[in-house]
Amino acid sequence: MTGRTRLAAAAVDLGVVAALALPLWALWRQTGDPLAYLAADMLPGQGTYVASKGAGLVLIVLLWLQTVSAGLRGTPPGRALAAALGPHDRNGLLVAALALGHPLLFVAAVSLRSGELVLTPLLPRLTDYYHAMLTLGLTAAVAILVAAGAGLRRRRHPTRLAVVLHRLAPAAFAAAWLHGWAIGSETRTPPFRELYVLLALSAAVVWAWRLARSIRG
Amino acid sequence: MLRQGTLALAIVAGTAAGGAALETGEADRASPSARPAPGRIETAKVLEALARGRRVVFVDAREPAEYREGHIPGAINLPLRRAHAAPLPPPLRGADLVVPYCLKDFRGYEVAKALVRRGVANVRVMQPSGLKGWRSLGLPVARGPAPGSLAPAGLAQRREGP
Repeated sequence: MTGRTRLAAAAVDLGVVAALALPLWALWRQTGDPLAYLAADMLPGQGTYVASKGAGLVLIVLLWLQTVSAGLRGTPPGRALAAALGPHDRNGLLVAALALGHPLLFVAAVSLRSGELVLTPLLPRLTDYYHAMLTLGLTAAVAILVAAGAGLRRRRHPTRLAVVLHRLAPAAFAAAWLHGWAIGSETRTPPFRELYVLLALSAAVVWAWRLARSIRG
Repeated sequence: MLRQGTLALAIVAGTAAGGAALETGEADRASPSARPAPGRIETAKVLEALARGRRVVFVDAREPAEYREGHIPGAINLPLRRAHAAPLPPPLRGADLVVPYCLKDFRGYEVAKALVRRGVANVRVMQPSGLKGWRSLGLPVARGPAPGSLAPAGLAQRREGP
């Protein structure tokens, strides 16, 4: 490895770290000292709600990194990104865990606040803006879990169905992105807002390019 | 290469950024840490304050689309994402009671914290929580982009109930 390629690899590594750290920093800016959520006089479920937000924010960035690195597979930037990220399967499992954790933590927060188990956030509901956007997020979470499961299956049994289902990942990213933009707060708070928009634009460009390349054969 | 440690390092970096800001005093400007937390108040007491002619300001912490679908009459819309930096609505200054809310007061509580940090006095969140709690008491909701207004006399009757 030459000094120049080492420098380029380090820059990609730093970019990945910054992309993952920025949402957590934005959350900290919004919510303040995390230890305050352990105080006795804190509203029930508030800390769990903030943890749910944290999981969602890291999830969207990690999902973007996964889908973009897959979209760029076989190109020099794709190789650099894949090297910085490490095994695609392991990261996929982490994305799936976050896709499960984000809604479950939210359900736990609502239940703690209500003093009883409340599962209604896990049910599709299009009656109003907020619940429609929750339903969109739920759809994204299910799509992520299906795509991650299909990815693992594809590795052992590369069936056509597994390949097609794994390709749900970019659509899941689009739905998750919209969910975060519609009812998220950190997603529209600078400087994470700018990164958030950049995530969508870059994913769209990479996948449009990928699609055009596969159509051309 | 970072490989296995990428995420862990990112989390550490995020925490370190927060910690560093805390150490330098940046946190006092940037976050509500080390500031008094907003208190709670029973909705019945809010209604009593309204009935006594006190200046009660409701702050709807949700997105404008949610606000238009239904809000506490008279509420100002200040979404959480704007609560830390947007100019404070003039009615908040000198109010006898400032009551941020959302559906279950997750965002409402964060807005309450932001307002306390920005020097707004008498900030409380309602019990039962949020617009759901308000509705559960049979209290009125206004629709559309206009704040609307509360009629304290009607509220007192409603609070006493059937």
